[in-house]
Amino acid sequence: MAIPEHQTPELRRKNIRMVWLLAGFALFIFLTSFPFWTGLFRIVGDQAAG
Amino acid sequence: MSTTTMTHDEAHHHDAPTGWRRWLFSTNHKDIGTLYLLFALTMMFLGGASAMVIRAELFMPGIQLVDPDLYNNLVTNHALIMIFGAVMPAAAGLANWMIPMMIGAPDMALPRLNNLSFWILPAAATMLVLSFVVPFFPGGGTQINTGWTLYPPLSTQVGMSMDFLIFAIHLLGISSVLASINIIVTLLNMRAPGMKMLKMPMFCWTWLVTAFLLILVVPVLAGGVTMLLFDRHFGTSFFDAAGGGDPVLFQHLFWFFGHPEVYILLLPSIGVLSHVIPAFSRKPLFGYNSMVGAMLAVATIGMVVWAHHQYTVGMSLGAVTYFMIGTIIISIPVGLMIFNFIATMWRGAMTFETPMLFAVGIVLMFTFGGLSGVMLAVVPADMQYHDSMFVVAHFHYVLMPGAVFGLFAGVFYWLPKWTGHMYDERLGKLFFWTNVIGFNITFFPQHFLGLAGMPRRIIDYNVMFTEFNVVSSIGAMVFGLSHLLLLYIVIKTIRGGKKAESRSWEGAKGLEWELDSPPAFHTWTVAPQIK
Repeated sequence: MAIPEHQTPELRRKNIRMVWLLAGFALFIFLTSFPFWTGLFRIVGDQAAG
Repeated sequence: MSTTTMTHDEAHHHDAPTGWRRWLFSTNHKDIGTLYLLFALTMMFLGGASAMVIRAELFMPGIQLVDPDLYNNLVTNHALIMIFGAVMPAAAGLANWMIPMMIGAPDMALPRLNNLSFWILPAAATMLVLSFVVPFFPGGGTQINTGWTLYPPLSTQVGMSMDFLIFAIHLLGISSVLASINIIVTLLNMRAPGMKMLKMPMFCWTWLVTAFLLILVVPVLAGGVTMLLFDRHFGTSFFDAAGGGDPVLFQHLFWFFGHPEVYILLLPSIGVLSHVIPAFSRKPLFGYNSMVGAMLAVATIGMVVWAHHQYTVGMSLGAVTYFMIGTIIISIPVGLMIFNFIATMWRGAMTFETPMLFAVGIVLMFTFGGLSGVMLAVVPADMQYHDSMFVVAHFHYVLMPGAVFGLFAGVFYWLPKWTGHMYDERLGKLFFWTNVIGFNITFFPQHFLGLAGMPRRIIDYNVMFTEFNVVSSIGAMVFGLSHLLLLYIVIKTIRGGKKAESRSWEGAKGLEWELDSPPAFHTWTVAPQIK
């Protein structure tokens, strides 16, 4: 298959840049889920306890 | 949407690989879409088989076929297989097939990543099935009797099968996130020149929102089950009260994923409806912009109302009031979507081919499921309904019409495009009616069972619940067997039938209908110009 005319190297680079950005974002959510949720839970728990 | 002349058949059937390599190494969006759909179909029958055993067991009071732990393992597996193995891959299959063709792209933005996203799935499914099978072997530990929510402390005490399940969830999550990234990049970067965001087909919009939701919530589930794994094997106490943790934390982590997951399952089907209803009403979709806005509202609000699944755990009055109001507010954008569909049908030249029958069925039954959802959102009422068969009836009325029937509508709508053959309309309608009637006989009585006090996830029940359970089980057998007809129709259509035209349906609009039926192996090698 010939490379489609709108599949330029520039577009390819743009695609890959965006993939890394989104993957980094997903990793960020994964890693911050540990401290975020435990912290939030502790705050809510403390408030409920007065 | 109008386009200029295209030369899309230049690469017609060139370079199409053959044999097993075509499928294993495929980077073609259509082939990978087919793989996703076949995988989903297989898992649907596997998950369906466990549902049949559950309903066979509940046919009469007493314990007949399976022991209580195995019963709960079947409940767990049924949910996980259907959600992660059947519905999500089926929606991904439709996305793979249709998104590039709809936006005038030659393929997904990252075809090799696409291949990887799919081939992680069979490995994950193997782990999932192993989690069910392992307890049957000596030393295999106890059955996973937690249900799909995997709440600790029970899930920290289950045998090694839970570890298989945790790794299966990790793999499924990785696959979903990779597929989502690919879909987002494709939709943002690969649209044909002239196709602005607000000209994008609604199915693409629904998948864009779904993909972002997946990236936002799946890593949180992954975090939760990783913490569970650490509690099980590495001496941590995230969820262990004796060590200073709290099991309720896991419920928050799980439902922060679990509630948006409902919209992840629903939105692609809403996208399908947004094409099917206009096509068979011969009218444009009513309120395109408001549909996009409603979808964004559903996704946003849906992210912050998770704890309505855990009212009975003992939250503060302020917290439950917030979650109750937030949950009820979601019914506004969802209602707007339904009204848009009804307004699209209003005074349209409607015909009722199989996809449209499913679409109308969805509008009716999904609305019904939504109404019982409003009942469950109300805190004092939920205290009564919680963990009863009413909840089972509710979420099946939401997910079967809302997600699965939408996928069926999509399969029947696009099957002529994919295969080049029209399916047998008579059989399609027969499938619709047996499916819908079977579904309603199965789940409608469960509302009454729940209201009368029958708990869910319990193998036995009081004799006073017998009659409705008998009806429900008979309905389930009809419902389950009807899917064999779907399989037959799909195989029959692939093998032959009346030749499908490029525009297989009179009212169908969009770039995908400019392509041949079936489309060439490589399509849109020359980008269409959108006017």
